[in-house]
Amino acid sequence: MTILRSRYPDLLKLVDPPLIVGGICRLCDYLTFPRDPYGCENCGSTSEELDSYEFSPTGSIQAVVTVHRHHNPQPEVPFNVAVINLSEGPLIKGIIEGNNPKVGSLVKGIIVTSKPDSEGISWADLRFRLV
Amino acid sequence: MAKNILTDNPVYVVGIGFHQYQRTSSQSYVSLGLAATREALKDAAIGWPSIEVAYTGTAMLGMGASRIMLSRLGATGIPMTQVENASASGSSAVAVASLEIASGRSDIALALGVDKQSGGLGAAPARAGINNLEAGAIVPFTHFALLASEYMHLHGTKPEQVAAVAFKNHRNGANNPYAQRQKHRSLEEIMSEPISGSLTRLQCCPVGEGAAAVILASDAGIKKLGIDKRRSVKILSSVTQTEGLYSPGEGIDAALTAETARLAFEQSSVEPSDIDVLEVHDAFSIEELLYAEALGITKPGETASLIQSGSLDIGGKCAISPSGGLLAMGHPIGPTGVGQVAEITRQLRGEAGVRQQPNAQTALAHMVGIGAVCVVHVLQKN
Repeated sequence: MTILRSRYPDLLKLVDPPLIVGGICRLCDYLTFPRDPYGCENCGSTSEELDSYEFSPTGSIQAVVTVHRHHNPQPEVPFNVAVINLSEGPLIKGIIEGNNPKVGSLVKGIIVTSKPDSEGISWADLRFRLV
Repeated sequence: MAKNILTDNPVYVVGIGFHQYQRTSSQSYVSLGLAATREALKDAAIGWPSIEVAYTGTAMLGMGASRIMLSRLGATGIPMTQVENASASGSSAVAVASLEIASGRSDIALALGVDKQSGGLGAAPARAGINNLEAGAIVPFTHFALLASEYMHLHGTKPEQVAAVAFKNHRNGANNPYAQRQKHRSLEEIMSEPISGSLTRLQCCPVGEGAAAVILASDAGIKKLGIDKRRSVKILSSVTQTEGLYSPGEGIDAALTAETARLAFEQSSVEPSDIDVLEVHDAFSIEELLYAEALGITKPGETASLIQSGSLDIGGKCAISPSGGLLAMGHPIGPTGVGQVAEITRQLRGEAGVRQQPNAQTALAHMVGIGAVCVVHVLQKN
């Protein structure tokens, strides 16, 4: 039996559609991704004032490139990465699935899973796909 | 505005030295640092006992590198401190040595940059406990490839125009005996071997090892030691800033540089148009375009065409990276910022030979480092 787990459970919720977990400051409403566990960069409030904030991983591509060399075997080269301007504000970088992504293209987050490891765990990662 | 104590208490570069930047080798960092320091002492025509304080810029050597190295010039017992500020470590060593002289505590200081890769802890931000979803897929060269993508989209710049930065800097490096890469490369060679996006191997700087040293002095120090003041170069301003929060769409890297440069120009009463020589943090070719514009040396979107016209070559309006820059001179981390100040000193003295920018009067050294930090020095012919 395969068990599905988020590789980054603090950052990625395995719901349909997926959600990514950032932070919001109760005092100044400053939004961040990822969530900052230490304090607010905008107003200096302590971590007690920071709440989780769930973002929908949808937005538009601000910059995109194809990576030809990479120090790890995964992801296999070539692969596309982009800076994505999330609809709710913060910028996020991520891997883009599919062909011919362009600046300005709309994207949404999808879950991709690894082959089950020796313990039957399949690890879930966030990727982006052209809408 | 922070007070510029360099205005009332002038600080001069009076000696420069290098150990060539090179691929990682079995050579000890001790011999690298000693070679650069000995050359700087010889250049200033002073002896080691005249040095009153030493700052060593290094990011990769680990603890306690200064005394084991510099005591081989004579264990004089002077204060020695290591300075770490990522890629700007050497620049920060120059910055604190300048303040040491300007404060009046010392009259002669050594700022040394020395490094070699030692497989140490690496960058602290990666261990800050703030995770991300990228799973290591986006490394520095891809970060800058993405900035190149954005820049090219915004300004209609072509990949070969970005690559022309590396063409120019490799050509300059070919004439610099201290450069790690000393080979003239064709544009075709530069555009081969893609790494990420439009960036290719030769548009990414080599990180090896080496050393650079500058000796700084006050007016009193120059007089006391009988140093030739005509060969000295004045540091007009020394400014360090760290990354703030910027408006959406405002690139962090360029915004940090723009803010640091604004303060440096304000403190030195110099305009960007006065800069004859610029040594800039061109670790990746796109950075030269971004930072030249953020520094105000060029206008947004025009740098690529100015490079094509030769305006930013040696002999042009402003020579950018006459040393070869990080792309050809190399980026051994600790030495890089010190080496920029040493190259600028050579240029402002008029001693740069075939790399000489004619009639160079005023120059700027710029480094950034992960974290993120930016250090700018403005220097002028004395």
